[in-house]
Amino acid sequence: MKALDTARFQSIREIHDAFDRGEFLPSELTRAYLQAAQAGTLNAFITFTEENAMRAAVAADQVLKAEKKVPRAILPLFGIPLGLKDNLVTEGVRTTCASRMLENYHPPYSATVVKRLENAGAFSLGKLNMDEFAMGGSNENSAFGAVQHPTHPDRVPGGSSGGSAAAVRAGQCVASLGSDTGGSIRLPASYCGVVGLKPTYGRVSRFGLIAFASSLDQIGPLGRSVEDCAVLMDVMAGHDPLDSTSLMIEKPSCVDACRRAPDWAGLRVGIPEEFFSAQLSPGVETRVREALKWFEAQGAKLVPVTLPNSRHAVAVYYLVAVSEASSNLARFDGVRYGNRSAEAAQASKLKDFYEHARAAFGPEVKRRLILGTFALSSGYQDAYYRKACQVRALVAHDFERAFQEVDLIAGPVAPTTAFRIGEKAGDPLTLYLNDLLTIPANLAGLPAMSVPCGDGEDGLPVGLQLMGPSLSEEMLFSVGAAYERGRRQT
Amino acid sequence: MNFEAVIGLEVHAQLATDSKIFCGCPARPPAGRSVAEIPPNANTCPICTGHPGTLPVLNEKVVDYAILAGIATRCSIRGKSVFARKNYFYPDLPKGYQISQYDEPICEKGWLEIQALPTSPDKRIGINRIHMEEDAGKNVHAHGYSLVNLNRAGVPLIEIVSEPELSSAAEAGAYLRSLHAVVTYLGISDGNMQEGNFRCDANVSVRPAGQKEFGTRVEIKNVNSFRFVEKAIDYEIQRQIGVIEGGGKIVQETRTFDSNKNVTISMRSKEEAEDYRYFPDPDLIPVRVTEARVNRLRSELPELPDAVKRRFMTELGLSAEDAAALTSTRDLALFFEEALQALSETGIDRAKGAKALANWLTGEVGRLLNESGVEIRNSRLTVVHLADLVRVTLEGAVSSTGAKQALSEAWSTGESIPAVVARLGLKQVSDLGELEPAVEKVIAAFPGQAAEFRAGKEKLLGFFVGQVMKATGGKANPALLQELVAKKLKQMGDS
Amino acid sequence: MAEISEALTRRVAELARLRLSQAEVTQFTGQLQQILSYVDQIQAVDVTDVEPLIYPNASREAADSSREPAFRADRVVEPRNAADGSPKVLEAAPEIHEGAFQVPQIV
Repeated sequence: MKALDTARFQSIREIHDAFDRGEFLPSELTRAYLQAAQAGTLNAFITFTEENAMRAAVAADQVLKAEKKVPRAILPLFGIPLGLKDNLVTEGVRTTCASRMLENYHPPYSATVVKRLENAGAFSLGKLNMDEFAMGGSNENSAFGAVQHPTHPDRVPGGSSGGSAAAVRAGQCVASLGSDTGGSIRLPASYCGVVGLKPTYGRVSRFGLIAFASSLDQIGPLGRSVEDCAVLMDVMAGHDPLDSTSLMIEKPSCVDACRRAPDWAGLRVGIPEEFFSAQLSPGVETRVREALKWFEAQGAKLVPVTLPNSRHAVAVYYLVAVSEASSNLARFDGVRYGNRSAEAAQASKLKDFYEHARAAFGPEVKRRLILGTFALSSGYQDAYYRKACQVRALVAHDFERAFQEVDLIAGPVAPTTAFRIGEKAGDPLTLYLNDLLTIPANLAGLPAMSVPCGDGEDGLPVGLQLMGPSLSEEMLFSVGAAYERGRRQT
Repeated sequence: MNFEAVIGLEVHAQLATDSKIFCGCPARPPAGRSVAEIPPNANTCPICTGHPGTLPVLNEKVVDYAILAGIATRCSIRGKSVFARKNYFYPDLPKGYQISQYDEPICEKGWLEIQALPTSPDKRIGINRIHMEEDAGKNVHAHGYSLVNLNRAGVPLIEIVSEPELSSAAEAGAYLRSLHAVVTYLGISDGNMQEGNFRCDANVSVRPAGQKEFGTRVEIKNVNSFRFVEKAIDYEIQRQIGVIEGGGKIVQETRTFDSNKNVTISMRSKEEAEDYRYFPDPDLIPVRVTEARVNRLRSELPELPDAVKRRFMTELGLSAEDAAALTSTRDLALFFEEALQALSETGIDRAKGAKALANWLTGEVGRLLNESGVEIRNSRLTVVHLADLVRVTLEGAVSSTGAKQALSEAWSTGESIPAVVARLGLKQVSDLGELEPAVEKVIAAFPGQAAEFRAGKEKLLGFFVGQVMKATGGKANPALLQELVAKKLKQMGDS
Repeated sequence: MAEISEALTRRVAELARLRLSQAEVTQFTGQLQQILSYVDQIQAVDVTDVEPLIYPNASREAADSSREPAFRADRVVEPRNAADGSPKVLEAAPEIHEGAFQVPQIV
């Protein structure tokens, strides 16, 4: 039998239909993805879990042989091999967060989202590369090496969920999970030309997500289609009694929303002037404006809106995120888990012990921990951490005001397409500024989606960002899926 | 120069919940077992050991217990309170921060009434705040290495912070006893000081009498008995006065109490103090407490020690001192009330029985409990023992010496009082027919004294009673005997 | 604006229990200074009467003050054990001794 070309599948639905027709079995599909992933040169995976995956796939084979058809209603992810960002803990499976600190960490439990996906019939091929502790926007900060862009090897895939985006685009897994603190799903999705969603803060349980910044982190899906992300969302979303910040509200029906055409005539699309500044590369601006024109052609009304405080978003974000991170990462001390270097083991003073154990952090992590410790320290906390939280409220108020006028806000995900590996290395601030357009949604806790809208003049993918009010995922999926269908038809 | 002390206390009370504050691990050993019997880390999970990715979820009972403590100390309860992270590195602190409450605690601004001595007037001590927090684990230091046991990590605590309104070690002791009674009456804490679930830090400063400004404050950490707190504060006040009178200055520092030498010892100075970088914990949304919850808890509030004490005084006529002693713990007060009930059922007058019971419980029984360090509920003594003891003495069946002997037997064997009395022959002779010959014999043996008595030297009555007691082996009922001897002396003179 | 000196970098690094080489101190001091001079733009923002946004869901929660957040019932969940009967959490520990996490002597 000819090896399956994994890159040909555009959606879970297509795969399920092929299962129904008996074209191939889940185990055959899984083997093909594993081969593609293991033969790949992108460095998208840190750890493969082929045994677990094949065991689950063979079990799915038995179900399919018995049932003849995919039990979609009860197992919406039946037989689907996924990839998991390596900051999602998996019981007994090495979880590194792309850090030497957790090089050999085998967690004693699994993240809630991982359990939910498994209960829906999916399984994981392995753990995906990322920026160490999700700190970075280019996936160059991994202790396991940078991830390559899936179509342009000299470019970065974006970060921090670089492995998650690259693997999906390259056909190394059907879909994946990432996490988004300041754009870490949307930026790589945009750079790699896949779909990615950062849900409303509190929509998806964070239990089992190794925290970077607790008030900003959200887990979200990356897929080859809007509908694939919707399938994952429907499975993952919903209150988790293990996460106090997860909202106690009805689960969304994102898949249904994808199949429902938006009410174009009543749709008001906000265009924030701040997102179309001179910093946009011409290729990005052209593609995004084309997308907006398409909306207009469907009957939507384009409405200029203003988010004046979003110009402070990067400043606010870097203070809030690093402050929380400095506390969240204090637990990595080599006492209960993680690496304990020979120097740490032999330390005779407690302070030496900690400093030797924590030497396993990479430079970007250290830089942010120092900045965060500073921003929380006595004498500076009011001027930095607390002030940043106040300006954060202003950023959120801007959105609240805007969403009184419009139903969604559209703009680019990033000012440029994927940049060259090393291009922004050594200049942390320039790299931070690259997150300018994705950070506002995290600060306000709002859902935001990146949908491919064509290639720039350099042939690299451009992402269109759709942002909605709190808990408006269904609307985003409806508009995103309609746009995707429209673009594929033209 | 005259100095006055200013003392504020921070008490940590472990809450008697089944599970920990932020995870489902057991918060205490099963009934009948001690903390030391639990293998290290057997009561831990990924959450309370701070594994990456874990999150805290607040135990509802911790909220209820903190509110109960607040209601009982007349605090106002915040509709919204906030958990904060206190950041520092120590091996017994799994997350590198302790989840506590900082500038928005659940309870604020209450007060507690204390009485430093039974004769001193009531004094109101302000409660600044009560907040919820998690306990840390325990480090055990061995030779060349240390071992970390996280069974205690995540055990729920409330910290009760007084205003600096205590002015002596005795007041501090009274405040602590009073607070201890409150939390144990509420049933929100076992209050076991040996196991460390009721512990105290004291802030002590001195200033010239009359001065408004506070002196420099010294913190004495983790003192774990009422007596030690008083001793530590007494020592610290004298030490500070000595330093000032010697021309020195008090250094702001943390000290620890050495209970062998009865001194406080410096641990660290302010300069070495950590920067805890408190900030709101983003993993725990603010705690909302509805009025409905507060009202429900208020309606479930048990009778508090103050009220019980007042009731004992007004209804039973007990002295303030006895009432205070009997209400020092809820167990003792309940024991007293149950014994009194049993006693009343035998037809003995309540007030009379109460007084006699109080005497036993604060006297001989109290001594036995103190010496053994056992709580009354864990001793062999039952309410039936106490009721019997009081009954037989009030009825005159057993002398007070005999009763003490009976108690001592019951204490060590648990044998019933009637059984001990019978076995040891402690019953008093109250039969006149039995006593008469002995009395006559003694009077006949001391004719000179008998004559003197009749001549008016009535003091000699005691001499005759003592002689008869001696002759009957101390078993004669003294009241009865006295009457009989007087009557016989007169009768025999007439004949 | 805060002036970042090498001494401040060292002090903060120590607070974070990070040991830096002299080269790192120099590099981080420069970078932190650059980042702080950028983020200091927030100092000019008027935030009079603005409540800090700490919890992104707070406005949703506050909208209904009669609602309490999800508490956990006080129920024991028995801790898991490894196959050999020892506490599960010990499996990931770098060094254990008699069931406890071992660290160098703390003085």
